[in-house]
Amino acid sequence: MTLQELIADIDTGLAGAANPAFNNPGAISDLFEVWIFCLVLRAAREEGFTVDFVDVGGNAVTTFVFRTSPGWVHGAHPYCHAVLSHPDAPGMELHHGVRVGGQSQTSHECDVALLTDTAAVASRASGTDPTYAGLKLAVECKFYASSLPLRLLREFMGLSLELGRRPTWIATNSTHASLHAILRRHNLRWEDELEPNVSSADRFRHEVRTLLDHVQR
Amino acid sequence: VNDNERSAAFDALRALMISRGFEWVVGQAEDEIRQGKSLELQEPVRVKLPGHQRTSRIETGTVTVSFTPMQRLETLVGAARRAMVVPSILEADVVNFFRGVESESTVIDIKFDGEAPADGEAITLGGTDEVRARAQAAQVLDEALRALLDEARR
Repeated sequence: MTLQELIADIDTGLAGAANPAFNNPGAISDLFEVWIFCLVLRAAREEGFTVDFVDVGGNAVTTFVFRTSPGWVHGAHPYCHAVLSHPDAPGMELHHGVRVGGQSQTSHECDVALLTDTAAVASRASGTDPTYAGLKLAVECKFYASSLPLRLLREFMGLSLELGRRPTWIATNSTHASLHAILRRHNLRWEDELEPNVSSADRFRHEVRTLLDHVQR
Repeated sequence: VNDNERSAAFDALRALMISRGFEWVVGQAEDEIRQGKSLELQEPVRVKLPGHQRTSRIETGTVTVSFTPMQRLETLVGAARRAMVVPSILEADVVNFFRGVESESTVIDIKFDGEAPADGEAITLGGTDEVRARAQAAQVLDEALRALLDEARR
């Protein structure tokens, strides 16, 4: 086949493959964050945690609503989170796209945030953002069609410092030529070239499992 | 296949992606191409520094080089794959997590919704069969993209 014929094949294949709802960077990024959210929950289940899906009032849901812009743990909103429970571990909640107070007392969005239930309950009761002290893990998610811009690595380093060096990953479908060198140099966590059914996804899930194992009493 | 044909394939794929609404993907790929590739210095370089009598030897460093036509095509195909193939596979995996056999959950619908009108319309993930069919079509598209690269490397 010629290159031009192969491009005609791509045109044909594209028709059934792409969901038009996800043909923009914002929507794909949201989907990627939710997939990472699910990976963390898979790891939790594998570690023996029970996972329940609830709304801000603690009621079980049949429709799970995810955010498309940064929000808050507290307040009256339609968004949902997961409650993680285990007989040998403190209660925890997994949130998507919520603000968490950093060391400078500035709040930062965490794409995926695992909070102690104490921190989450206190946030809802007081109407204040949970602080980094209540963070068990955070994931900064980046979906890029091309190579990751260097500035995102710099931003991640700042976020990680603000979150008091709590276990914080940058999780990306992409990579950058200097990603490993920079993050290794600063002792930060990452998982790049992430997508379903690849080794990096298994690696990430296992790292989260290890962390969850260590929080058990 | 020569570099002219690779460049023509790049242009044709670029035009196809733009016509299908993926200009943002083309934009990201072209940004990456414009920045060039950073390579480590392969051999020491001797330079004459101002105020120094003798030349200095630079042992390590990086240089930026332009993409070759093959590298330009690889970058665009990689971007196409990430934006046109991977989302359908992600969608299927999320739906499988909430509704599949592993799920143990009561969640039936998965919805993305913004708080402000500027966040755009809400998106509800499709039915299990619809999402699965899309993921299978994405695998076929993935193979077509790989075939293009294989042919261009000949």
